[in-house]
Amino acid sequence: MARRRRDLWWCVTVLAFLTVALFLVYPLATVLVTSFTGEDKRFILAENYRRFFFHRYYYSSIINSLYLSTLATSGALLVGTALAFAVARYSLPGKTFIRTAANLALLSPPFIGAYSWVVLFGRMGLVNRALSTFGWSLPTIYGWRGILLVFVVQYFPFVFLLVSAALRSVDQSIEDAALSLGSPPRRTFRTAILPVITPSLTAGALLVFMGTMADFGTPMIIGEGLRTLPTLMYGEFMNELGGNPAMASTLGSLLILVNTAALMAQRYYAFRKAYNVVCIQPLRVQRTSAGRRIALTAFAYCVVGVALIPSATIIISSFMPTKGPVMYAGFSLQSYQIIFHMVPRAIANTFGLTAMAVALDVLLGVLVAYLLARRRSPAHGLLDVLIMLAYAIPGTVVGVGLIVVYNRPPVILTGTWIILLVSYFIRHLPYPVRSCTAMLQQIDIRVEEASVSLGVPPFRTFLKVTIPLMFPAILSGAALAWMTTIGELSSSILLYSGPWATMSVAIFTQVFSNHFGTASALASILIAAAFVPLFLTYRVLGERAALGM
Amino acid sequence: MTRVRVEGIVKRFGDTPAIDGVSLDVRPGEMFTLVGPSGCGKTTLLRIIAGLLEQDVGSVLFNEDRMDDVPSYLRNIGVVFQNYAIFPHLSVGENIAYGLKARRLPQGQIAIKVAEAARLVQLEGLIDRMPAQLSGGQQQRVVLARALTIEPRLLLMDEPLSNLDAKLRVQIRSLIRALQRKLEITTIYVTHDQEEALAISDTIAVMDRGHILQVGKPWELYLRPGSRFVADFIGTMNVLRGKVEGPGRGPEELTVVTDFGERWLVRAAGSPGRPISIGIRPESLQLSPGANAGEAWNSLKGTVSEVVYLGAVVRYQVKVTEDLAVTAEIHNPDFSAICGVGDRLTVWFSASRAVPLPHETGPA
Repeated sequence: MARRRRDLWWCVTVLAFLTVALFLVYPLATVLVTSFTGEDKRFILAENYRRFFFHRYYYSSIINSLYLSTLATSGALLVGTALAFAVARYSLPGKTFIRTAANLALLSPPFIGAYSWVVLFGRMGLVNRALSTFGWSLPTIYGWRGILLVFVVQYFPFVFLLVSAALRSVDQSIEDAALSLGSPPRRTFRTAILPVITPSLTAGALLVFMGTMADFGTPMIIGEGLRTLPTLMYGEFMNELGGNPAMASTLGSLLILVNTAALMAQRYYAFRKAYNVVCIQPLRVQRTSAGRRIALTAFAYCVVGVALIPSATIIISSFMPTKGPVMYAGFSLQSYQIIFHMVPRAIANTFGLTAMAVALDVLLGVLVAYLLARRRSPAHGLLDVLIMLAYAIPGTVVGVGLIVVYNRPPVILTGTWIILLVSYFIRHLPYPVRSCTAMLQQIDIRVEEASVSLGVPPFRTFLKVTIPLMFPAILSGAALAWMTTIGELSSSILLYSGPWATMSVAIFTQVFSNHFGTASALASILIAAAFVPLFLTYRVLGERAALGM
Repeated sequence: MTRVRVEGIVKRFGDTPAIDGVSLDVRPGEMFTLVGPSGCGKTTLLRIIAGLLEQDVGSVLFNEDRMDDVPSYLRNIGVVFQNYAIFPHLSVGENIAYGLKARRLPQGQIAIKVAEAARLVQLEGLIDRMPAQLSGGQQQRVVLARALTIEPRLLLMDEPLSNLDAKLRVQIRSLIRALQRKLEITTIYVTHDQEEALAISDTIAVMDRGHILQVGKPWELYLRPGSRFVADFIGTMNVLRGKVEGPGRGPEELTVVTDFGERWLVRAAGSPGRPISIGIRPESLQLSPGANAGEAWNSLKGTVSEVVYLGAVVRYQVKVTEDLAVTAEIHNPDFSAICGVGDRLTVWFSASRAVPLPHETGPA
């Protein structure tokens, strides 16, 4: 409506801005400011940055990070796109299984994936010990090779899902038209199909790039001292000899810079290259030679096979008797007994905090999505950008920011569970916001207007008409937020204290103290906890709707 | 029955005025149509009357009640939208009952009213269906029932037929008109389709670029258009230009010399020497074969450049000069009288069929 009223939506706008300002903008701004601060807390221009770029110890981290993320992004794009094409365009046996397996691979957080490879191929690993009885050994899994393996295996499903969805939106008539105009198949692919799916390819690339840049647990577990931006940042901040918040903030600022730049580049590109395609008949499955079919099938099953190894390893090893890092053949519930005895609190913390954070995310996310979709104004445009920012900023940076801001009066949150909740809440708010905004764009505003004209006031219309129609998006947004929150490590490891350790933190410490059995038991519970809501969402909505990303 | 008055409405989107000072008076119980090309402001005006959009300036009155500060949900109106705006998560019955529930009617009464409304729009037996199981025409009837069952003071319809196929459009059009007459409900109907407007309305208002150009009964607009735009928008109009020569043979008649030298008698007023525009509907034109046939007065000679045979009607394009062609429609054409492209013809009309139009410069 033309006249601005201080109605409910006005309050939501204020609340959303306040939330984002207090829990995201202020902490991040503080990180940026701190990076320009000396030890005496005075403003210094670029002294920290000078130190960063002149010492190999520091600058190698950004080189490593960029190098690994670029390689991982290329690898994930290659594997994910190839698999998506194989499944979409050729008749392979067991397509449902392939799709399900790719989805399942998303369930375990990357650091758990990293640790599972250590369980298999590490120095004390199952495979290496088996081989050593014959006097054989494999090349080391530690270092950048291991990180890269974990990154590609953990992140290619994102590309697969996005590209598959994009391929489903390409109408067969596009290909037919190109072919009928005399364009050979290869050229048709390059000039008619590829451009339509490119926005999804870039979205996938962005997801992988930002995710791997921010990943803290993987290089910690499998990197063996390889410094990346997040691990070095953690190290600088949590140094036993007294942390160096200024240098940590400098590293954090560089992380913010790299990820935001990637985000902006992708947005700019996708905005310019986005096409509206109407798909009535999706692309047909192509005929191909038997040899090619066998090769494609072998490729597809190899990929999903490797993708399933981490979860399988963890679940199986959680039922094996262990002694320290060494696992023995057999069945035992020993690891589960130990964790329920040792860290019941961490399990309760994880479920409690995740449930609260997801509930808050959904509550605010639904309202904010409505604002962004229906009440477009410059202020809401800004809100949109800020919430997207939450998606781009690594957990380590959010964690450091929150600690720096909230460990001093007037509000002290460090040492409480609230600071963990805040981090979970703000970092995963984008999921319901995005899924609901996308859904709202497909719901005709006239449906709401019809309700209002029939005598139902706007907010009751929102509850009675809009919310039920948004339900699929709410559900999938909540499932995604839940999945990503429950295994969150990079900010938890900074923010937890004493009794408020979470399962991810417990797994991390168990891995570092070489208690692989207990780590596996905890990780199995995490995977199951991530699986159940996703599974339910699928059951309720079907695969397509649940992938609303 | 509600009389609707719209007084001096202005609505801007950014700098462009979508509605630029519009006033209307809709009589109680009438079917009032806003017609105009897309972007003329007709839907914007409808949404302002519905309270879904707020005007910058001006007032909307239902009888003596000023509605400007009354939110949409308290105006007691029924709105039917182009794309149905059916609630996809509610069954047919629940859709129809939606407004009644908001009014907190007792359950039993709701059930009676829903059944009655369903019968009115011929949807008995479909009450438990979900919208996805209905055809477009059925969905539109659900929405109509939903809007009527709340017994609104006013029914507003925004291009309700444009998503339907041609046959269904005519069917639902008659249904709407019959219900509107039976319930004597004041209705404002928006369409871009002039034929639909002519067929359904008591009164039509033609809109263009945020202004109302003319308000009148369908035949008033068709036979006595007040402007070139209305003449062109409602039906097809051949516009010919000339100069007034002097008085004609009868009263209220003028002799006019056309730009291409023909001498005409038309029923119009004007003083000698003034330029004049004359409109002639295609169906008012008659054809005679040959270049010299027909009357000497009120005729023009030309060559057939296009023939469209439509069964009951044949439509000819007749080229008179390099820059001027006229459209002529011959109803119920005789087998032997059908002309072909390239035939030379004389086109003529009777003086009473010529429509004087305000003289406007620009392409004829």
